[in-house]
Amino acid sequence: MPRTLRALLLTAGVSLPLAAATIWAAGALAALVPPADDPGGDAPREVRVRVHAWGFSPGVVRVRPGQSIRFAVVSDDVTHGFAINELGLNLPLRPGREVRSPSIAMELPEGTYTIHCSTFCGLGHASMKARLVVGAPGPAPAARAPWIASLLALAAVVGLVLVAGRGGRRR
Amino acid sequence: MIRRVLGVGPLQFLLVLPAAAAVGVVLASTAVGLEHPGFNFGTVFTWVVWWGGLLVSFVLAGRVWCLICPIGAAGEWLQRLSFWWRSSRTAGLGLRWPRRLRNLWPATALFVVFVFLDNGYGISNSPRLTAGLIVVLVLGAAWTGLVFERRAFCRYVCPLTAFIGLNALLSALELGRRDAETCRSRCATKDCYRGNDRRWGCPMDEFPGGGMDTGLHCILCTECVKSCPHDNIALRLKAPGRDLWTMRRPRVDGAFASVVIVGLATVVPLLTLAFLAGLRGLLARWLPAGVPPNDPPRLVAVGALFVLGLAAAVALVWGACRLSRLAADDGAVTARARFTRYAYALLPLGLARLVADLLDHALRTWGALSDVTGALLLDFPLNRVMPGRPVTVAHLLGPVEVYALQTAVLLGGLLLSVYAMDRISRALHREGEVALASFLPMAGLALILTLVSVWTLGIALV
Repeated sequence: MPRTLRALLLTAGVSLPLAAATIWAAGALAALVPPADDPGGDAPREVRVRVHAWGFSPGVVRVRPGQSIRFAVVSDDVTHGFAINELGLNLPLRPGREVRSPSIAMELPEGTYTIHCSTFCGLGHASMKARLVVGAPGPAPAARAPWIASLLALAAVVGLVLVAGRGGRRR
Repeated sequence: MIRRVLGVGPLQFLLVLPAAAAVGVVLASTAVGLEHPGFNFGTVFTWVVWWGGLLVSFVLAGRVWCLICPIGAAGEWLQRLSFWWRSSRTAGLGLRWPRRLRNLWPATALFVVFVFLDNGYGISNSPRLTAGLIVVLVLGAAWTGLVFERRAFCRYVCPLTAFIGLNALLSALELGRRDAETCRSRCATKDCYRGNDRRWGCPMDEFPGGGMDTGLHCILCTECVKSCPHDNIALRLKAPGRDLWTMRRPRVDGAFASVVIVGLATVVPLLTLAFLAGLRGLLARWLPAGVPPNDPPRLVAVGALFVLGLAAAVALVWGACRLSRLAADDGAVTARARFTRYAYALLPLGLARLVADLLDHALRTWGALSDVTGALLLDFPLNRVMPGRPVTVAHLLGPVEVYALQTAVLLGGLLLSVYAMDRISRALHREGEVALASFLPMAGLALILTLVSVWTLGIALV
């Protein structure tokens, strides 16, 4: 078997299961945390959120358009922030102390919005996100972004391998 | 013009002064100012503005932070009893740094401890701990300067020296000799290393006219430019990352430190994201829970995931090197030799990930900068007064746009990393097909580590 083909098979044999495991691990994280579903009714609803490095529980908060909600947030470990930029909300959190937001009438258009930590809190800070789902917006096109990024990364490596292979043959 | 500027005697001192003033304000603000890190100028400035600037500065100008760092300078001033001029009297014992410790192992261990403390205790998350860190570093630099010669602290002890030095290999700027023959045959005094009656020798214990082939330890202080009697040391541009594949003597300590940096940036965050909460809950059954951050189950869980993540990173790189050897079918280049060469080429992946992490925070929490600056001005420089107005919630880009930018940065890191691997493969193997076979598993590893970053950053979008 030619050396390059064998190298390709070896690389693919190891890389593909690892890539699949990575994508599964990242995707499984979202499924680990149960969503906070809307119990119904017209009374202002209190959404209780626990925050830890580096995640939120629940990971998905579902609300109806126009519904009034109030967040009650507590950090389980270090100092964090609870921010939803589109609502103009940024609650500074201290470990173990519950912080309540003012009552918010959900006037955002139907869609998915990011809840994020607004206080720099270490290695996983950039991935410390949850989702606020207003109404029933359907699948978000943004969900395809990591797949597109993965394909671009694959294309970049394949492109450079082809260039390297051509350079090798010329030598 | 540039040569004239580099020749100015107190150049480094003049550059350190504004940085020292900024660190002074940060120290005052973090030591006595507002306790919430989101409102404290010192923490936001240090862990967002300075950290971001540091990451970008690697590519632009290598260890330029070390040039202006007042912490290293404080130790040096104390040791030399001068700010920049050559004085006849110096303080301290002037001992040589122990031979066994002339490597990056201690600095790598200290870097891991520093990152663990940051993530376990939240140094970047606490103004007081940030102030404590600065004080510890200043005292460490001062004591090391009083015991050992030159900048032993900056080269061997500073917890960031391995991180800064290795990432400086991506720099587009370097100080180096113009003509090797001049140094070899015409120079008997080696003033760039030893110094002379006007200038000091290299504070980082490097020999710019001889063995210095990368910017790993060069802090761009320009002492060598000033001391060289043949005007043979120059500041010049180079291809970013060139040191990764042209370094003549790659060392295993540097290679290991590179894997640690990349592991901390990619594999460790994935594992902590996936398992920290669950593992902490599991450990709480056996260990007494405490008040965070002094919470033993959480601290043990963070420590265990750090060890596991770093072990996984080393195993991944080592495995790829074994695979590379198997694929190339060239026993002359051992897996260890491959590890020592290829590990450096992973550095762009780690740096790109860290930049991508920070982009998210900077672009999504933009309003914090004006909030903390406003709060600082209310009570300069002690920063004890909370502004009366509500927190500014402002972002420059939405989450999808930020993710697109992050992806672009990650792909840039991937391309540079894979390019460096190709160049290293060609240096290791003469035959084109063997070089390609050797290169493929390493390119696969770079792709895997990029996918780890792509998916951990994109998790909120799925």
